[in-house]
Amino acid sequence: MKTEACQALADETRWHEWLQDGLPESLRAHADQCADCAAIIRDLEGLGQGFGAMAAETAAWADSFDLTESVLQASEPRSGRAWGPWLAGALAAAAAILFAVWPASSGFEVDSEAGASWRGRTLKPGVTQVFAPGRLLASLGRAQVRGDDVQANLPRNSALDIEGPGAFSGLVGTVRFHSTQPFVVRGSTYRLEAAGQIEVAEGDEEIAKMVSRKGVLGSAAVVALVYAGWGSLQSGSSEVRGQAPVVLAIDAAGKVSSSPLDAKAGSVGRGRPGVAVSASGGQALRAAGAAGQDEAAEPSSGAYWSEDEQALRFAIQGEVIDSVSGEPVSDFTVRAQAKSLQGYGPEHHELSRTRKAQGKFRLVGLSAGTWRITARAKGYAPVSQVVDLQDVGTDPYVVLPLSSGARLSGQVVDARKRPVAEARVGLVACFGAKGHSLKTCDLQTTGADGRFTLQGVPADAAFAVRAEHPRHGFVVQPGLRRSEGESEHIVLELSGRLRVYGEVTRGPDKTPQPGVRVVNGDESVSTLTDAQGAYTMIVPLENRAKVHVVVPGTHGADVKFGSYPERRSSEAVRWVQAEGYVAEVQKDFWLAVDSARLFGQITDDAGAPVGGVSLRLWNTTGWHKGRRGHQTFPERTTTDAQGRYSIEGVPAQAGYTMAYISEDGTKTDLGYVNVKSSQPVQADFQIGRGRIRGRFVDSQSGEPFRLSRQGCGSMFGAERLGPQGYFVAPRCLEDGRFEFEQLPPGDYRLHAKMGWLESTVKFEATDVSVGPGQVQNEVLVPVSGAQADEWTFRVLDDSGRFVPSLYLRMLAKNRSYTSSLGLGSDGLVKVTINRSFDEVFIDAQGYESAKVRLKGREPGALIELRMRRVKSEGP
Amino acid sequence: MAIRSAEPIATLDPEEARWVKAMQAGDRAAFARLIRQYQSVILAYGLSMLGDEALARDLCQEVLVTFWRDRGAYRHQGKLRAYLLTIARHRGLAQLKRQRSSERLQRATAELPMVPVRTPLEEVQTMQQRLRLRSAIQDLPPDRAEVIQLRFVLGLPVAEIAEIVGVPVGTVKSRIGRGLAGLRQELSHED
Repeated sequence: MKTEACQALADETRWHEWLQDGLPESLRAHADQCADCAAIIRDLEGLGQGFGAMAAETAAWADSFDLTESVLQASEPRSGRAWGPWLAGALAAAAAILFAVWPASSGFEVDSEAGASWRGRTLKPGVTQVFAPGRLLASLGRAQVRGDDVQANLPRNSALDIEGPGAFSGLVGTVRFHSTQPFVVRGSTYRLEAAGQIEVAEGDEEIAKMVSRKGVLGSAAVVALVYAGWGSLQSGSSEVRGQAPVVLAIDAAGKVSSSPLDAKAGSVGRGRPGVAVSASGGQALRAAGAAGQDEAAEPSSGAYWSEDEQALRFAIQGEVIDSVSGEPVSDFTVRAQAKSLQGYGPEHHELSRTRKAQGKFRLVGLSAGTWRITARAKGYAPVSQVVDLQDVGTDPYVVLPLSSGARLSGQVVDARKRPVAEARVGLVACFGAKGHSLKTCDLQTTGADGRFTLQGVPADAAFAVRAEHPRHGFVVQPGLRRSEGESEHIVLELSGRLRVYGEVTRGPDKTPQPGVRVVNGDESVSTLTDAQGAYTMIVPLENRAKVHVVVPGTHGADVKFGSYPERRSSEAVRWVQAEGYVAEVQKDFWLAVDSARLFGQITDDAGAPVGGVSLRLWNTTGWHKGRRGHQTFPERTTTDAQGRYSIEGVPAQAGYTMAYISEDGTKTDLGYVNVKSSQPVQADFQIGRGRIRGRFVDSQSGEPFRLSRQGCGSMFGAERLGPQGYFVAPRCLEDGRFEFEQLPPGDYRLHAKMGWLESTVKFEATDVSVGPGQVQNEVLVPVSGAQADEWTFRVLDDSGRFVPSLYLRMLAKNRSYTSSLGLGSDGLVKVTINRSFDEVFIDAQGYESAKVRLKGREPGALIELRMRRVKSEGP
Repeated sequence: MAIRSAEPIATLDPEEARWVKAMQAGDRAAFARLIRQYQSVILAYGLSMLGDEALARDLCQEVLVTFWRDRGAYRHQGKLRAYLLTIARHRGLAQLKRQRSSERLQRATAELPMVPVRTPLEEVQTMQQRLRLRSAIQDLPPDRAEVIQLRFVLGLPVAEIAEIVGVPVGTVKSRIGRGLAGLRQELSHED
């Protein structure tokens, strides 16, 4: 049996079973009878704990994200079923800023924020960018699409490039676009501009409304079928327009023609290889027979044709000056907003390519229309000007005078009128979409008294101020108006309230739990979940706004599952304007199907119960359907006078770590415990980790005894006495001192492990007893034999360079001992060597060994060595 | 010594099968539910595989988008988790292949100070040593590191690992065994 057990233990293919299920007692009983078995068990236990900790770390990280929204968005289908009837054409979705591309290689859209990055790329702010793995496909409303199945909402004035040798032949599947704005689809042989819907399909006659050919059959270069509205085709020399239903065509020579279309909608292109292009509902449908004109890069003045965007682009020039002195302002930003029916759109970051020499700038890449240009600089009030872009001849020139504006002082207070320090205050426009502030904006942080002063507030114009604090909420004060130089005090009150909402579910199916009580930390606010298990409550937004869900325990008493809202930073908490300005955070509770009572006793090393011990239990393992469900721990408890503890409602099918918190707040792990079912689980622990500090002394004189590094670290150690004994090596400090840390309570013998050094140095075995949490200082370990000296080497090669990666080799009792040497920053190598060695060898790869005779040298003296390179053999 | 109660391998439970079916029929709400169910395990897998939080997030998103796009491809055999992790594995490996050359150079090969002989039990007590466990896993041959991560960090049953990695159960077991032996040696480093 013994042999079998030993063999079984040594069989590494079975280790993982034991890591999972625990070592069978039958094997454990034999553990100390065979060589190495105790070590294997010990090591596996260590690994098990390490894995547990890693799993917990990883799980905690993974649980901190919710990608649901972004995945849903990225996989958003642009439903194809509504495409057939042309009457849908006029109902094309409103111009979407969102651009979702879905090629076979699974790209997804990223709506970037300033400073964000994706796979190492820095994203341009405010630009919708479309990626496939490793490939940037589109930016700034321009897309190059490769793939089988592409569905896109095109932003205003965007261009879509279809790559491939010609037309849409590179595509296999379907391309669909819809946009109420003019956009361009460009192939290598033609360009098609349209508003409304376009459909590119292969051989799908049902939905084909326009067919494109590039002279493969017959002479047609482009054929368009217009079902609804009207369309036009244009080549270099002529243009033809037609009222639906009509067929428009351009032949290879560029000649355009039209003919009435009969009811056989799909007849054109039927039965031929190729791709159908259809368009409907367009106000202007134009296909040109040739590729886009070659245009020079943006000229120094005037509108230009942007080859990138396949559109006419305008520029604005101007300068930013100080309104009082007339001097140019050097550090400023200028941004442009396009005017639309809804008012001014978002500020175009990308287009603000300014040239700041002497306050001058030129914004390029603007489309035709009305733009509002805003200049900002620190210490000045922002100033705007509206510019109409129509004239293609020259750039409009605008002068933006910045005045220092009015001053606004005030104070930020919380709901109880107490001043709030560290709140951020500024003009509303200075707060970006996700809290990023503009560089040239004056954003203040309140001092301890909550006060702030904003310079450069717009004078004689309405403005709004915003204050926010991650733990007190935010407030916007609109409709402020100040005259130049006027100053007035305002008070901004932060609501200090947090809306917590979420759902309470149970079990793997996440069954909603109606009627469960949810309370905040001091139970001043409480609510019940509704029929769907959802709850919402507004709690004071204090430093640590706790939320608990209260469920009946197995022993009558209620069990409180508690958690802080995990996301408390200003970024993660959403500010919403509901019932006043409140912060909002989601907190879902997911309860286990079964829970058990965990109880046990805490004893000290001697087995005596320890009362009043502060314990902490938290969930470390336990994956339920791929997810660690029970985020509701940690639980804290304290032992009673008999050292007993009991925790109700511990979710089953999970593993937990128990730790105790000592009075100084340090946490020490006691061990792991598994809760498998609703059966009560008993887990007893011993507390206390001790520490031994001491030094080596000469057994004769009692003077400090200097050991070589090898002598201390490898050979000397503490052996735990008892059946589960093992050997712990110390941390070796300077001057012959050593330290053992994190020792479980017990009796230890400090002595030498077997080894060659025993012959030269003899440790007197010293027994030390360590109680729970006890620190044994100044343990003296007498040593006799040869002390070590510290030597310093400088090792250079033939050419006078330092030799890296040195090894020290010593010979003792027919055995050589090698250790690596660290090169100091000064190029010197310091090493302690036992005096019993008369000579040592210095090795390095690629060099001949160097023998160093130590005997007769002054200890501590610098030894210079030259090492010779090994002559390479052969070529 | 037991570290976790691993759930036995099973086929899709009926409740989940319903969700998957609904999702395959194009139900976005069902998809959202499945995302919530599985995102953390994919994230965790991504993190242990790629060692980079941002990459892990990207990978997770990619996997789930693929799952939606090719939703017809999933047949109700085996566990959905294994299916998703198989996708994650393929994409992750491709990602690693692209990055390996540069990343290998960058990985800090911090020279640890002469670490005294301790038992692994003592080793894992401290943070630094947990990092050592991580790096020791990374230093294992990739096929062993992979199964060790799947088994002990993600806590997957052996049968499921076999499905994900695409090798027989016996091979997974022997890789885990050799991996554990390697870790033990690495962490004990008695010299």
